[in-house]
Amino acid sequence: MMESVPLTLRGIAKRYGTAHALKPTSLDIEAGEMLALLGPSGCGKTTMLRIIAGFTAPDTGQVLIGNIDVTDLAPNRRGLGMVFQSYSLFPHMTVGENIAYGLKMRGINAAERAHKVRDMLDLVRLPGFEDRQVNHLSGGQQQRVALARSLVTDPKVLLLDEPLGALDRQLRENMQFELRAMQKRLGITTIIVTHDQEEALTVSDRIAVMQNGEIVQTGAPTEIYERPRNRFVSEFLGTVNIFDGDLVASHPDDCWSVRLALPGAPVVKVAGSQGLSVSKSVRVAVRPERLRLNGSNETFRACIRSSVFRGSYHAYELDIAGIGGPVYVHSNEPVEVGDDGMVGVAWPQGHAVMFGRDDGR
Amino acid sequence: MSDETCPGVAPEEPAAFRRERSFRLASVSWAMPALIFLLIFLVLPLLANIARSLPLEDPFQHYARLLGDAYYLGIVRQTIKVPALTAVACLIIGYPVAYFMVRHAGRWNALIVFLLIAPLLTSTIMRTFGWTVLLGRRGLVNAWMSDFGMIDKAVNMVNTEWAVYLGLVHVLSPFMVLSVSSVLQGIDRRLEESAQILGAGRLRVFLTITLPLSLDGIATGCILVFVLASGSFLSMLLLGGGKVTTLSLLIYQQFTLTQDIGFAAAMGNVLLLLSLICMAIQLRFLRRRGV
Repeated sequence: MMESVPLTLRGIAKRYGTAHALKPTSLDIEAGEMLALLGPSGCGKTTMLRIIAGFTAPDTGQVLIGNIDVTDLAPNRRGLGMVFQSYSLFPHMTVGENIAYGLKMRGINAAERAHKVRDMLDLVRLPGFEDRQVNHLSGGQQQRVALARSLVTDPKVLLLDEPLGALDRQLRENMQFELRAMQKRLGITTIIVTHDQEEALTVSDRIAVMQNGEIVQTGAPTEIYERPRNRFVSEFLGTVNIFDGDLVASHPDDCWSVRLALPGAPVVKVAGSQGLSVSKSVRVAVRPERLRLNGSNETFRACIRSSVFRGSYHAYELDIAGIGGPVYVHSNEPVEVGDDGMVGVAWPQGHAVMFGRDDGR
Repeated sequence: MSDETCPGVAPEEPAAFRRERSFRLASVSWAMPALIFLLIFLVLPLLANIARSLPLEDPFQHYARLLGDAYYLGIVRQTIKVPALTAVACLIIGYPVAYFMVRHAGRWNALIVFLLIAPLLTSTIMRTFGWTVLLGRRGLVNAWMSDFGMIDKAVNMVNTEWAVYLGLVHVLSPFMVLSVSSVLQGIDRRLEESAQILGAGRLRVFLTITLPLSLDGIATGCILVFVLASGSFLSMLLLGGGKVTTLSLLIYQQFTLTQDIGFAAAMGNVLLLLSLICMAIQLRFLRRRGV
């Protein structure tokens, strides 16, 4: 196995006409790290991946692989591995020929090729598949062959472009864990592009959330999920409840008291962020699984509009007089509802975040 | 036939089956006018042609002459050689054009397709005759070459083998371009990008991925050009000046000059057989690749 190398992007940018596909962006990916580029379609994540691969030349900036500037190097000389969403297996070759292709391009002899292909097929748990036709394989099998083909040349960096997007849900979840385990075992620096937040949370060490051609936040999955920097990130990572509020007082432990724009004007404590001052208007975001129903210390009361059993949890949609949209609560236990259909909602300590009114949309 | 396929005749059949039957009946009856047309204007004339080529007194005399006589055998050979060389030339000229169209032309693609198809709307006679104007002794090419001092006296360019190939390639290369480009269009660029990432340079990508995957288009284009070239006689007639004689030109001559209709019919059948063999090869080729 080869040594892991870091990947560095220094101020890369790409414009198509007047549209910024990618605003000047810098990013450091550590050796052996798995980073997810997460964002909606058109956010620039694919442009970024294609710049790293060498298919698209950046207007400005540099791409460094293992501290070597590869910005002007052709894709075939960068020593990368890549898996596309469509797998892109060569239809006129067998499974074995597909995997051996990269070795052949490197002038490795037939005996060693056969040996390495066998090893790779064992690694992706498709032993003995050498002579199969690729169009007779299932989606999951094609995916594994594509992965084997990209790994057999010991690439310095592995690029995955929505690699699991074409698989059905069950298979996708299995493959996420398998991909994660394989990446850890090989210790290969990996970038995965995805628009599926669950996939990003599952497979990666770090997530870079992108919007409108720039990275809006990078961080570990838990950090991105629990401490989103703005409204866009909080909403893209999953369901979130957003409340308007005003800052009323600061506390020495970097927390703030926020008066929520809810009936009874409850005041709650929320961890602060930079650039805040008393009486400033803020938005407070809290995940549905953090709100508690019918607990002690209820903060406000709400009317249950609907409830759905989702298997592992119960999802409630609540109506609160005075605010526009519904409030979502996920609870592990079913909730007892009073005759008036009202429940008390308790505010979680330390699980809400706030940002300015204008941050992210 | 009509009462057998009538949907009302078999009431004991299950409904679903009956619906399928009547659907099939509908599709056959809609095709009837075309089938009748083909029967009267294609199948019957071909059968008549076969009958005409086999005179009662000595049924195989025409075929024996065609395939036994060295002169005629040479013409049969020429009928294979000229279209084959034309197909190769069209491929060499047409493939790069098709590749450019699909990979680099972008929004100009539609314009190129238009420019390829537009000449097909002009009569082949006009286009072929144009070459005699250009290449003639007092033609444009000779005039230019002598103006630039490249030649002292006019060069004979019409009535040569080269002129025939020039005419054929000019008329038929659009078919090659369109056949190849339609297949190239279907090749996923990601395949080429995957090969590139795996270490293949541009030439290797082309030789190991693009070219093998476009073999279908190449085969279709070559067979199309071959069949069309073997059936055409205008280029040979107008540009060859007797230097290049193929079966189709000979048929034309047998019909209009010698009026040996039986012999012409026999040659027509040999030519038809040649085309059918090509079609069979193409079908086999396509089926083998599972397209």
